[in-house]
Amino acid sequence: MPVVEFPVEDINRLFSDYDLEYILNMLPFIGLDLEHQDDKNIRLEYSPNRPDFSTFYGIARALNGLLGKEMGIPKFEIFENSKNLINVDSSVLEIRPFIVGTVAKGHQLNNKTIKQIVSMQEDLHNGLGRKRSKASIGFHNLDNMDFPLEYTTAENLSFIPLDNSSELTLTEILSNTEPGKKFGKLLAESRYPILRDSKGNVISFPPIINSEGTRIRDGVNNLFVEVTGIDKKAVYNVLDNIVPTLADIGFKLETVIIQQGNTRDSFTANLNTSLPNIKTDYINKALGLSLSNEDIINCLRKSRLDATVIDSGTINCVIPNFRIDIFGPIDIVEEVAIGYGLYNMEPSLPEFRFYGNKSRQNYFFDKIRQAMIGMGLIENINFILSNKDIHFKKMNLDKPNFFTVNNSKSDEHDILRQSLLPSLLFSLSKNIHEEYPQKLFEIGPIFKPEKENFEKWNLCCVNAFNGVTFSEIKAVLQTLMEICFNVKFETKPSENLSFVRGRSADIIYKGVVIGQIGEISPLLIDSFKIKMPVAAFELDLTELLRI
Amino acid sequence: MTELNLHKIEKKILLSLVKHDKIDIETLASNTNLSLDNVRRGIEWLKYKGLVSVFINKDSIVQLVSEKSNDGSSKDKTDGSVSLTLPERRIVNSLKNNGQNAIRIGDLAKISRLSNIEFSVGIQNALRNGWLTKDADTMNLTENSEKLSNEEILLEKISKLKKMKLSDLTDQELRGFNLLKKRPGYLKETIEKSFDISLTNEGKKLVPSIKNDEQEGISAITAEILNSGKWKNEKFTEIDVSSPVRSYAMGRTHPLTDIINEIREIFVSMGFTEIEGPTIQSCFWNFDVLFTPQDHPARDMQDTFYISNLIDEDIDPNISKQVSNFHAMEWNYDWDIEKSKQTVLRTHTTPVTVKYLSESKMSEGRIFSIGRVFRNEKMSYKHLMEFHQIEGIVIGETVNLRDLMGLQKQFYSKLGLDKVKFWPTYFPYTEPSLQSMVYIDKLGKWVELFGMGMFRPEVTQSVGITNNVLAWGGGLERIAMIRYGLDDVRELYDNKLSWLRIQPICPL
Repeated sequence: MPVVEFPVEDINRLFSDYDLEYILNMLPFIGLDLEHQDDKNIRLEYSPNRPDFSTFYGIARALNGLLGKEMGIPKFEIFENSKNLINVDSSVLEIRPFIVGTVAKGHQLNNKTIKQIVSMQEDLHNGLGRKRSKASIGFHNLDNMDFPLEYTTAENLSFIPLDNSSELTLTEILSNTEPGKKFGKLLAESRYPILRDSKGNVISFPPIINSEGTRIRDGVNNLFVEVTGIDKKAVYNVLDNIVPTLADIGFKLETVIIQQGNTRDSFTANLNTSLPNIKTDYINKALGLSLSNEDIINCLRKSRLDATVIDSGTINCVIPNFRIDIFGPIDIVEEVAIGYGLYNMEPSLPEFRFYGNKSRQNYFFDKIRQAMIGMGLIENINFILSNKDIHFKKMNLDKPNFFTVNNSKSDEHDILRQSLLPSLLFSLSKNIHEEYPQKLFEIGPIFKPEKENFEKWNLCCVNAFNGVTFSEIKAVLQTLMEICFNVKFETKPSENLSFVRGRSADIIYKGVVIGQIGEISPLLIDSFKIKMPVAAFELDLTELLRI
Repeated sequence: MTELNLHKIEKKILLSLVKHDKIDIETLASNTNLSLDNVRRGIEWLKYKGLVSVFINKDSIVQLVSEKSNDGSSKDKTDGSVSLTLPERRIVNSLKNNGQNAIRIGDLAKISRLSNIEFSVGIQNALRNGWLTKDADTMNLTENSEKLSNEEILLEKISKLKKMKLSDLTDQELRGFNLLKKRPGYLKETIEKSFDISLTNEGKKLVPSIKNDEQEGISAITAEILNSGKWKNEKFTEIDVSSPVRSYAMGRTHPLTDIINEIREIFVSMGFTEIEGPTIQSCFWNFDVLFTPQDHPARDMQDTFYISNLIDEDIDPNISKQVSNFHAMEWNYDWDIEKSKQTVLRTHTTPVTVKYLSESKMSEGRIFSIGRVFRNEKMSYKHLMEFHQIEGIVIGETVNLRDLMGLQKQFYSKLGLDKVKFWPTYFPYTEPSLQSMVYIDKLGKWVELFGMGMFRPEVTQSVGITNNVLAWGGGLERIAMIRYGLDDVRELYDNKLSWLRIQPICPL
C-alpha cells in the first residue's frame, strides 16, 4: 500500500477548529490508515485506487467534505492560453503517442511543497503509471524554457540530464544513469521520445529523465507539467490528479494545447464526468437504509461529488475525473455510505433460515484426528511449500518429482510437498532433545505433478523411540482402520527407499494400494540426524474415502 | 522449623540419621528404602534448611583396571585386556597340567604359551612366591604352589567387591596391592568423593518431634488384598496427597486445528455450509473473474507464486466473454485469455467461492470455506508465505451492507470479541468494502482483523448471480497468535514438542 507523509502542523493549520485527536479519528472513515505518528509527522497508508490521496491537499479535500466544511466537487478555474503549445511529431506516435500538460503560475515553491509534489509524482508513477510503463510525469521550471514545444523522437543527441553536470547522449543516459538502467527497458532501441523547447533545448527524455536545466527548486514561481505515455486513459488520469493538487497549492492554472497534424486538443476540456442516472432505491437497498433524495445528495456532496434529482426515484451524479475508483452505480453506493458516515450505520441481521454443516471431508478428518490422539499421537501442521533438501535429498530419492513455484523469495520454500513423511521426519529432527516416545501425525494436502488428481489429502504417522518396530506402527494403522471405518486392509511386502529392506509394505485396501508402512531406513535417520529408530506409515485419505 | 514443613523424604532421612553419627548416601538410601536420587534431593533440601551437614571425603579407591570407573571411561573385559590369572599362576598350572614336577626352563617357556616378557615376569614371581625352585636350568614345582599369593588374594576380593577403599585393605592385601600396582593392567587407584551425612544441632532438636511415617497397615490396594478379604481387618496407610506427580504424555490436535474447528463451528451455528476447492488455481478464477486487471501489482511474480505446469480447465466461454468485456470497458485494456490460463497457488480462498457460485447459481444461502492461501513474501515474525484464510459468504435478494456489519459482529462475538469498528477500505472485487477492527482486552488495543464487502456487479454478473453477495474473510493465524500469546507467527508451524505438549486445549 502506498503511503503519504506530511507534517502534523498542516492538520493543525487547516483544521484549527478541531482537536487533532478528532481529525485523526476521522481519517479511517475516508479510508486512510494511520501508519505512524510522532510530534512532527504523520504517515498514512492509502488505497492505490485513490491516487488523489497521494498528497495532504487531496486528503484535506476529502476531510473537508466529511466534516461538512466544503462540499461537492472542488472548484477551480483553468485559463486558456494559446501560447502554451506542444507540436507532436508523427514519429512519436509509434513509440509513446500520448502527451498532455498544464502550466501553473504565480506561487512560490518551497522545499515542503516540493517534497509533496515529488512524493505525489512517485506514487502516480508507480500506481496509475504502472512503474512508468503506461504514463510518466515531468515537472519543469517554466521560466527556463520557451513555448512552443516539440514532442518528437531522436536517434541520438545530448543534453544535461537531472542530477548531472555535463551533457550525456541518450544512449549514455540509458546505460550510465540509474533511471536509465531502471526504465530503459520500457523503450525500444534506436529511436527515443524527447520533448524540446523552441530553442531546441531538450527538457525531457520520457519516461527516463528530465533536463537539469528545467529542474524545479525552492523559489521557483512558475511550472510546466507534462505527462506522456502509451495508455491514453492513464495519461489523462495522471494529469487529472495533478491539476487539482496544484490548484490547492495556490497556483493559477493554464491549458496547454496539443497540436498533432490538424487536430488540436486540450486536457482541460473535461474535468468532470456525468454518470448515467441512478435509482435511489438501488442505493438504499444495497446499504439497508431508507434515505431521501436530499439525504443521498447531501452524502454524495460530503464525499466531494455533485448530484441532482432527476425525478422522485432517480438522481444524476457528476464525478471529478481524478476519482479513478468510480466505475458505476455500486461505487456511488459506497460514496453515499462514506458521506453518511460508517459510524452512523447501525449493524443489522438478515433473515435467518439456513441450516449449516461442515464438509463431509472435514467430518471424516476430524474423526481420524480423534482416533489418532486417542492413541497418544500429537498432531503437526507443516507448510505445503517446502524444499528439495528435505523432500528429496535427505529422503534419498532417485528422481525429483515436484510442482515447483517460480521466483520464490525463499529458497526453503520453493516446491509443493508430494508427501507428508519428510516434514514429519524433519519435525522429529528438530525435537531430538525432547522426551521420547515421540509419536506424531499430520493430515494435509499433498501435490503430485500429474494431469489429474494432483491434489490429495494424506495422513502420515511417525513413531520414534528406542524399541519401535513394524508391529508397533502396524498396530496404530490397524486400530485406526478398525475404530474409524471398521475395515480390513492388507500389508504386502514392497520395496521403498524410505524404509528398511524387508520391513516395508504397501497398504492395500480393496485391491488398491493406498499407502506405505515400514521401519524408516537408517540412511534417512542419519540424513535427518534423528538418532532414534522410527517407524511410519503414510495413507492416501482421498483414495481411502473414495473407494 | 516445624515438622509440618518437612517432606516425607526429609522425615525419613532425619529419622534414619538419628541412629548414626555419620552415614554415606548409599547406606542412607538402603536404610530408608528411598532411591539415590530421592536421598540426594532430600539432603539438598535439609542442608538448605540447616538440619543436616554434609562432609565431603576424598577416598583412594582401588579397582580393577577393567572395571568401569566413575567417569565412564573403561576397558571392557571382552576387549582383550589382561586376564585376572597372573602369569606365574599360568606357568605353574601349565606345569601341573603337563603332569610334571620338574622341567627345563626352555620347555616350560614353550608349554606356558606366554610372551617373553610375561614369562620372565611370571618366573620371577613364581620363584619369589616359593612356588618354584631353580636348579641350574631346571625348574622344580613345590607344595607352596597350592597357596594363593598376596596379589591373588587381593585380586579375588576386588573382583568380587568391584572396588575397595585403600584404607580398608588388610596388611596382607596392602602388600599384594603394593606389588600389583607396579604391574600394568591389573589395578588402578583413583580418588572418589563420598559424602558423610550427619545431623546438625538444630536437626537433632527437631528429630524427636517428627512422627514416624512408617505406618501400620495396607499401603497398596491389590486385587489379592481385596479378594482375600484381608482389608477387612486392617487399616489403609495414609498417603501424602499433596506430593507431586508426573503428567501424562497426551495425544492432542494442533492448536491451529483447534482454532479452525472453533471457527468452523461458529460458521455452522450461523447457518453456513462448508465448501472446499483446489489449492492450485488458474489466474482466471484467482484474479480475472474477480475484476483484478491483468497488470495489477498483486499479480506480479513478486507477490504471487506462479507454477509452470498449466492445469487443464475449460472455462465457460460466456463467463470469459463477460470478464473480457468488463476488463476492456472499465480497466480500458485488451484482456488476454492466455494470461488468464497461467497457474498460481491461490492467493485467497475467493476463487473457490466464486467458482462455487458460478456452478450452483444459487440465489440465496450461506457458505464458508477455510483453507490455505499463499503470498510470495519473505517470512518474518509477522508474515508467512502460506497461511490459512477463512471466508464467509451470504447471498440473498435483500441482504445489504448493514447486514454484513451485523453478521460480522455476531461472528466476532461468538469468538469472544465484542468491541468492533468498521472503516471503508478497498478490494478489487468488492464494493462497498469495509475493514473491521476488534478490541483485544488481553492486548489492550484495537487489532485489524477481517476485511469484507459486497461482491461487485462485474463479478456477480460474470458468473450469473443476480442477488447481492456479502463476503468477509481474512487470515486465521492472527487469531491463533492472540489466543496463544505468540509474538512470532512462525511458531505456529514450528511443531516444537516443547510447545505443543503444553498449549492448553481450551485457553481461557
